[in-house]
Amino acid sequence: MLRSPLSLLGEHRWSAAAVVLCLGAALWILAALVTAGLQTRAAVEGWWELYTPAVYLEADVTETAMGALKTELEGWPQVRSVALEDREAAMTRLVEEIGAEEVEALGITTDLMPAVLLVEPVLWYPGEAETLSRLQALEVRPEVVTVDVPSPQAVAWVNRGRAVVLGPAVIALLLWIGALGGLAVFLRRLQESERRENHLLEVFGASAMALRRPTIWRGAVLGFCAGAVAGGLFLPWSLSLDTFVAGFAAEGAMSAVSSALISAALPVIGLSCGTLVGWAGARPRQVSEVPRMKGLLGWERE
Amino acid sequence: MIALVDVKIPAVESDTPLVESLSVKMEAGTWNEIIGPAGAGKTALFEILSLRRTPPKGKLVIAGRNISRLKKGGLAKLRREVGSCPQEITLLPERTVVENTILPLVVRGMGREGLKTAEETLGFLGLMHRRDTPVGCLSEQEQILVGLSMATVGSPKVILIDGVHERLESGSRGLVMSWLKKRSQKGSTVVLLGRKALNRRDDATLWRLKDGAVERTGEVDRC
Repeated sequence: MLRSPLSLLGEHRWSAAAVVLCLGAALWILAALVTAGLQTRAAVEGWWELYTPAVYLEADVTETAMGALKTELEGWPQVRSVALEDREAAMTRLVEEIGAEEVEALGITTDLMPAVLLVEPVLWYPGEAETLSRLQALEVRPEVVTVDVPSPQAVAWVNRGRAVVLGPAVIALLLWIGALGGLAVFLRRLQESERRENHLLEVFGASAMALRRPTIWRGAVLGFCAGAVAGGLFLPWSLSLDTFVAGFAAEGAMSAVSSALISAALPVIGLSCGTLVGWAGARPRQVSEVPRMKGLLGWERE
Repeated sequence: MIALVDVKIPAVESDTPLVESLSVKMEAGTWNEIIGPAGAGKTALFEILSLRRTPPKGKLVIAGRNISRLKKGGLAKLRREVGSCPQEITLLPERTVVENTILPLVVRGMGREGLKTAEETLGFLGLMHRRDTPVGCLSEQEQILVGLSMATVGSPKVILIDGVHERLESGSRGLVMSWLKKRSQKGSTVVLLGRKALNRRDDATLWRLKDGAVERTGEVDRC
């Protein structure tokens, strides 16, 4: 190249600025929705843990029967883990919750305490309702006293939470891909305006990589600038959102350090994506072909 | 050195080949003229020799490298050894004369010494006073000279000129011929393609393309 690859960006500065702003906004929306989705997910998981299904077992059930039921539940694909809380553990928890004097006054002894299987379902597994009804059906077994499962409303909230996480994130991802497409078109336009120069450079022996390099550079610079714009928008937004989220769901709040790290990562993401688009879009396009003679140049003259 | 072995030169718009089998050998530092009437296949041969296109049949060796065995990177490296000026000269009209001239040297990775070499070429071809003029503002004669300076700058191993020398006025043509002679003496293989032979050198080789055949004559015609 006779001049810096960035000089062409200077000549098309308004178009370049528009591309950077669109790309930056799309990246910011993507980052905002993904982090908001992750925060929502963390909050929903926090709430979900309050509703861990529990299977209460008869007082006279043997350890072998408890072990067999635990193993059976662990074999269900929808179940992440099963914890056995034996009578001693249940007694200890009761003492912690209501106090030893109260327990003694009520005449509750360890023998009267039920053993409990605490079931942790796989969250976000399709068909939580089905899992819960399967657990509920365990009540018919002789060794089971009762099964405590979350209410249908809780399950419905989990499903809504999932939609909140996935839906906008998918839309934002499509928006980002569209913005990258816009970048690719802009880079291609710039490259086509240099077709004559590329043709000459190729005729005199420039390598394919040397011809691609300016477009890769431009993609990297535009991607980095867009990432910087997105990072600049993301940090204040994230900090204000955290203050709001921490008010009602501590699990969902993100630390200021995490927000800063994500903001710092956005220019790197923009740089990487811009470089990739530049690399992919820098291929030559042959415009003519002489029949019966294979062209050796990628950058034919128009 | 250039060697073509059994190379077929196809016609652009018909199935009949312009030359069925072309075998020639041009040594390093020699002066070669390939002449023939319009449609004899000179431009197709130029495109093959300048590594713009590959022939459908035959073997081509340039500067000791068989192009059929070269990949893209190897072809690009080999093109750095070849300076070519086609009939339809491609220039960068908004760039200056010196910027156009230095372009092949930029590709070869020459920095400051490249500028000196480009200026030397422009000086010899009488273009130094137009050094900083955009090429789009030059006359057709001057544009041809810029195209020739790009083909010859930096003494490439092979210099190929496709007919443009015949469009030059006599004064400029004399300059160009003596410049090409210097390049030849420095070791470049000079190949001129045209309708008539120009050079009066005894060591020049003339190749005549006619009726689908090539014939070598040791002595160049007078014109």
